[in-house]
Amino acid sequence: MNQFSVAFAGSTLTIHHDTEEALSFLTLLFKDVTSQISNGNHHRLSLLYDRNQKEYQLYDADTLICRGRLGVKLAAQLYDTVIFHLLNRAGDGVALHAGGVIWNDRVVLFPGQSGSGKSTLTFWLTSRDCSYLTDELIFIPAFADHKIEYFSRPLCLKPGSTHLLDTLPTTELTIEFLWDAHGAVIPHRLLKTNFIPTPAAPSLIVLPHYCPDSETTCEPVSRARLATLLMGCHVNARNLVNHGFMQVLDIARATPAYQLSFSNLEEAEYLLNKLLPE
Amino acid sequence: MLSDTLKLAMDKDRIVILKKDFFLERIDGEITVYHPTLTTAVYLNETGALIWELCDGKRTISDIIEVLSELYPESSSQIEADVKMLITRLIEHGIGELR
Repeated sequence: MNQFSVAFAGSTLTIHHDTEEALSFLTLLFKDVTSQISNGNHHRLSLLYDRNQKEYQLYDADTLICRGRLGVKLAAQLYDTVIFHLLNRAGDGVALHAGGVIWNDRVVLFPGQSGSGKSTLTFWLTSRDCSYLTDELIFIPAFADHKIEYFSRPLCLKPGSTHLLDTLPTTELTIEFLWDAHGAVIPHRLLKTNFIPTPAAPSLIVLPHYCPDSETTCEPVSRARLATLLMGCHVNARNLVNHGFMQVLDIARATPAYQLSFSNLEEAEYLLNKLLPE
Repeated sequence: MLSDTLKLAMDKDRIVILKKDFFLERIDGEITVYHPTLTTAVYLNETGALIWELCDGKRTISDIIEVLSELYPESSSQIEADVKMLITRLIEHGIGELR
């Protein structure tokens, strides 16, 4: 039995596996999710091949939680489980459900609930001039001497957004990725080879809202409204004193924010570019 | 069709009681409220913040409308609708209830 470690937000988790195929799958999903800080409090998952059923089984400790082939559905279940356990044991800090890119040397965050369009927007911008940070999660420690971390998993597209893969030159499709009826898992290096992890704090927060057939607009958001909306994207509130409300207020006070309603990605990019001049 | 909550808020003799133990922050004249037990957050713009301040557990909805109408006579036609709308939101988020 081999072990694969995932670390984020000062928390570490081990995934046991028993095939080379499983190792490739885990490497694809978690290659860039590492941390220098660890509380040493390991949780164990197992991804094991059932030779009779010819499928994989995912265990949370000793409980079977999912079975199937190594595709997008199992990847989604694995991400949910890994993130839950990492944040359950995370250090003191706020974890926000958000996408993030580096644009003109500044970090731009896209906080939002599932379905808001943050992964789609992050994919599009990474395929253009931005560098990728995450399409899922950011951890902002409570202590200034700890580093901000971005959960740099591959980009996960829902079935409704996989048409974006058609925008990539076929010559670039040399890196392994997952694409099936449940969506796609796309390594960010397929879009941008120069991955630059950064501990920088966000310079701008953009709250995406995908509205098909609507006009693309970008409006400023007040600090009180931003704080309220960020509490809705706060993943580990229950684990924190005051549910992290004071820390979220600090973020809202320090970071300008806009609400982006979009149906067209090129128009969204044009409007955002005005907010981030070189 | 009116929601049940809004129908209740139509009864202007009722008093709005705000749930205790919330976190509140005023920023630039607006308010953000977070209730940790309900795990719900509510944003109040400047008008909403004024109405919130008047929900003191003693004033009826009618009293609140009256105070605001005296303060802003030019907006009196809109005030009643704004008050009922905000109270409806607070009730629907579980942060307020009517007595």
